[in-house]
Amino acid sequence: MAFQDYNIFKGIFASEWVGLDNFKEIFGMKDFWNVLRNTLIISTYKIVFVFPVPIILALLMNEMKKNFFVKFVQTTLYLPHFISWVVISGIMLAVLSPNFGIAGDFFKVLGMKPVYLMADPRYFRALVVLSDMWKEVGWGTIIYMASLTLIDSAMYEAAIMDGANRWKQIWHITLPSIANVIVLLLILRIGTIMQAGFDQIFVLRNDMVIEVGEIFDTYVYHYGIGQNHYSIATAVGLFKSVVAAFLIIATDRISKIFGAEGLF
Amino acid sequence: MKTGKEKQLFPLVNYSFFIIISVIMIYPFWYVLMFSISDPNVPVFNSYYLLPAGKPSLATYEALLRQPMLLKSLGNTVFITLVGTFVKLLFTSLTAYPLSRSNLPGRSVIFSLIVFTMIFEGGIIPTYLVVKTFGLINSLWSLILPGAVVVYYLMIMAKFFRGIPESLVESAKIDGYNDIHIFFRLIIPLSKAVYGAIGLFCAVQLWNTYFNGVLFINDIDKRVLQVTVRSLLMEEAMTGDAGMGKVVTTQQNMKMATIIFTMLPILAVYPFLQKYFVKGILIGSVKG
Repeated sequence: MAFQDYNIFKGIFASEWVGLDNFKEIFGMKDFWNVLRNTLIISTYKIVFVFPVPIILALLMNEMKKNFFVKFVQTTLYLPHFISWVVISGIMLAVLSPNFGIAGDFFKVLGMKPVYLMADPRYFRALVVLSDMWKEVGWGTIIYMASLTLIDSAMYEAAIMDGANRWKQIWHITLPSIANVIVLLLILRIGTIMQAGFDQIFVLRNDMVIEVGEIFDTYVYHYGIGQNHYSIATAVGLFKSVVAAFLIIATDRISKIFGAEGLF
Repeated sequence: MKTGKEKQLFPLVNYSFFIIISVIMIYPFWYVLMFSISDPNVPVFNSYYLLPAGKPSLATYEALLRQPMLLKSLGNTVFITLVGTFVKLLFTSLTAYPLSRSNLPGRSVIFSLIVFTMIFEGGIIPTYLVVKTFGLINSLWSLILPGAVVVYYLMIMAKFFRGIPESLVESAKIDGYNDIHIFFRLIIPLSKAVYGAIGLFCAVQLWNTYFNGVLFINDIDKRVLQVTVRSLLMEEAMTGDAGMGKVVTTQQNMKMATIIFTMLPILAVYPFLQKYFVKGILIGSVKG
């Protein structure tokens, strides 16, 4: 379909083949480069700012005794993962509203004029990253917590005997022990860089922030289904899928080089 | 050795840190809950809603439950959640089981073909056209059937089934049972935990179905809950709550009640989820 001038009435078998024309067209479109840039920027922000947080949280949580408090913290941390983005966007609209929410006061404290964060292109990406962090960091800690429990406690006892303090223990025992998990997850995460979080951005985007918020999947939907540019949008989608699949396979190979088990 | 001071200071800082984290996690939900049970006749702006404004009342919820649209879409969502979970479990496990048996010819080829669909997705528009070709547009089945086999869960299930000793199946065969019997009478009862965990995950995902509901359903009577909730929440949201006063407050109360209402079933199964998901994610994490 991406190589056709698809006509919805003729169907896929009767539509005209146009070779690579659709791809020529999309590479010439301003929108396409903007969408590519947005996707990569949002994904990169997420990797840089969100990815390390569960590691830090898991390390700190690991330093606490396993008691009621830890259970409680974990319960609150995991909860947002199961709530849909539709509901979360509703909560964000309320909490961040300059009229109802707490955002109004926040700006007053900083001595700024309250703005509607959700509809401001300057803050949109920050909101996407922060809300993603809020929703998913707790979930992210699970895997690190599990690998932390596998560390042999005898190593810590030996380290304490040798006079290593808490930071030295973390630096020399804990981190090296989970390093391969971190590397593996990071590589896998980079493999999905073409996905900037479809559901999230689909519900958070609005006309005010389209310039900075439109990513591949939302673009394909609005341009293709919304405006009936089936072939062009499919070609954009295919470009995304090919790059994404290539990245996943490539990262799988890399993770195998690092000695991890890999995906397949 | 650790100094006494550090010994005391670190846990203190650490505990405080996690108290703050928990507050950040809970506060938005608390805010919405308090807002929703506030007296709809008391207009309040820029409140932190540590406590409900005015006298706590369930009036908003009563009004909410009188909305025919919401109830209808609730029914649709309950339908796709129940039927969908069943369909997904059945088809995913029926696919996973043969792939877990070493005597299936061409096993690795089939397996790679299935995994390929996970890595290389067709994209939104081809998926849409396939659903359209099958005449499923505006049918609730369009939200169930396209994802009937979940590759990721298939991998988890196949891994679990592989752990069931082949000799058990062999002996059942000698006793004269056929493969279908063995699957339903032997394999499923042995795998209750996996079915429970994956079933819960499927149910939560189906409950949260949103985008497919936008994509495949135009008929307003067939809308799923999340789509209806979305349109309720977006009413006037972007115009910046311009018309202040009682009407807006009531409307805002309504939105908050809708949010709580939508979350309730998730909260109800959350304790079970928590029991299972650590196990689930760990089985999955061994491969990927």
